[in-house]
Amino acid sequence: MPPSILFIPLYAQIRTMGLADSLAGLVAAYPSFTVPFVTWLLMGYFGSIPEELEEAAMIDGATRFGAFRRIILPLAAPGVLAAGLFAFTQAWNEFLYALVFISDVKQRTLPVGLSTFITGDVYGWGYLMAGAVLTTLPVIAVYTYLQRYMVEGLTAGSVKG
Amino acid sequence: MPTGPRLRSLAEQLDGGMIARREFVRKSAILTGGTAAGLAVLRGMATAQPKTKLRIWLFKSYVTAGNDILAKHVEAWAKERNVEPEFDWATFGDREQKFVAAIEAGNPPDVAEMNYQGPMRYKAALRDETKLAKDLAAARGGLLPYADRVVQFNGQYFGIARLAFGGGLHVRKDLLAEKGLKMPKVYDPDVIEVAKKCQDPSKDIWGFGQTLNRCDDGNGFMQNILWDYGGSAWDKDGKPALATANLKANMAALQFAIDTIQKHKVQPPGVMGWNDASNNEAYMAGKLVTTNNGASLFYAMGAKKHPLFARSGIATARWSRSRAPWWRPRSAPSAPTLWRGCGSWAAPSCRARP
Repeated sequence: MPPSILFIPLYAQIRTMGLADSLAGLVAAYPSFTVPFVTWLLMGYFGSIPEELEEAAMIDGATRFGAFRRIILPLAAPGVLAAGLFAFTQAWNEFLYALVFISDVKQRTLPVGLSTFITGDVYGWGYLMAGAVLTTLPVIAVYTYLQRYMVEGLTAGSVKG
Repeated sequence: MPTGPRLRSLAEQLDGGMIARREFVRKSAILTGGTAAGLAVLRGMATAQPKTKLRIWLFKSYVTAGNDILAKHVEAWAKERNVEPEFDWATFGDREQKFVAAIEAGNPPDVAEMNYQGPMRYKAALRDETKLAKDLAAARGGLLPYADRVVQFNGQYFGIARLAFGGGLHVRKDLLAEKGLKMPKVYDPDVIEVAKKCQDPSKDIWGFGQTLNRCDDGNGFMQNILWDYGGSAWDKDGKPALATANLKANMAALQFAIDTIQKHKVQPPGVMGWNDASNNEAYMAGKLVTTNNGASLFYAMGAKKHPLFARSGIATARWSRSRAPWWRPRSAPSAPTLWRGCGSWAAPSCRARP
């Protein structure tokens, strides 16, 4: 569902919850687009894990939740990590909700802050581009750090008999 | 609303200087039943309150010096009234969706700066400020007629006129002189002819830079040509008529705007973009023969001592009368190249969508 359709009703909800003009409002709103995306992404990943592994764990005495927690979830860790990274990136880049839900200058997110380099109908392209590069640094840092674990997870056990 | 929050709201209004002490006492007496104890509590609340916050939404204009002056004025006013202003600046691209969402969600700012379409566009969600508007106008000798039309509807004022401004077609006089051409008077056909003769696409110089996007320059241009082709977004009763009663005339005006791009090919590539890149900045970069802009471009060039300042002029055919066509019947389209508008303050209602 495009955010342009959702932002007004969501804002009304956020306002009703008393979360308007606060970062908590964004925390409450962002799952509206991150959860569906992550769910869709992970459905495929979980579908690729053999059901027999879960059944084997349950034969060995694990409960369904235990089998999920001890067997399936560790196997799905790379997928969960990837989905988490995508969700983080989506939330990090989000503009419309942050623009509309927050008026307090001190609470602004980076994308909204970047838009202040637009004055009237004139775009400060130099500032905008420089700022955009700077705002990508945390994302790059997170990716760089977690990539190691993602690769480890993806390749774990691949060469064992 | 329960008594407690209403009392607190009254106390805040008193602290902020928004109501007189007498009004505060009268209203609070009604709420508390006039008991001495109730009034004592209220007095305590009023004096113990921190500064009242006033959420003010402002338009971040191209003229940054103007933005600074405006902010300073508001801050000085707020200091006098013991109010803590909370500014939020928005540009063309952000202003409307932010404002609409705030109104729909019942969380609008206390005061908002409006462009010349704002009072009409949002009047259903704005407070009636008739008394204040009339008092202020009377104290200053009355409003200019076109400013009055921007903020007043059927005798009710939904905005407090703050400034009047003009805009028009900025023209490269030097390029016209090279071709022996006179300043254009109307968009159709003068500007088109001048644009065609003076432009040189091989050198990336285009005859006419006029965005049709959501910025006020685009709005102003469309408003001018709608009216001058006999159309309007509204009928004489104030009902939407863009695609109904005025459809034929509006379509003719829109076709003219499209023709400047597709048929006459006098507009630069990318003019249909959403960022207004083919307007004032392009003009100052020497890429346009003419462009429609507010006085801000004139000011910017002058303030920066821009080399094109002395080589530019503003086409002064006649003022657009800022009237819808039922006041001004037209026989033939012409579209004058000047326009004027009025910025105003408005106080959105705190209730949710009306």
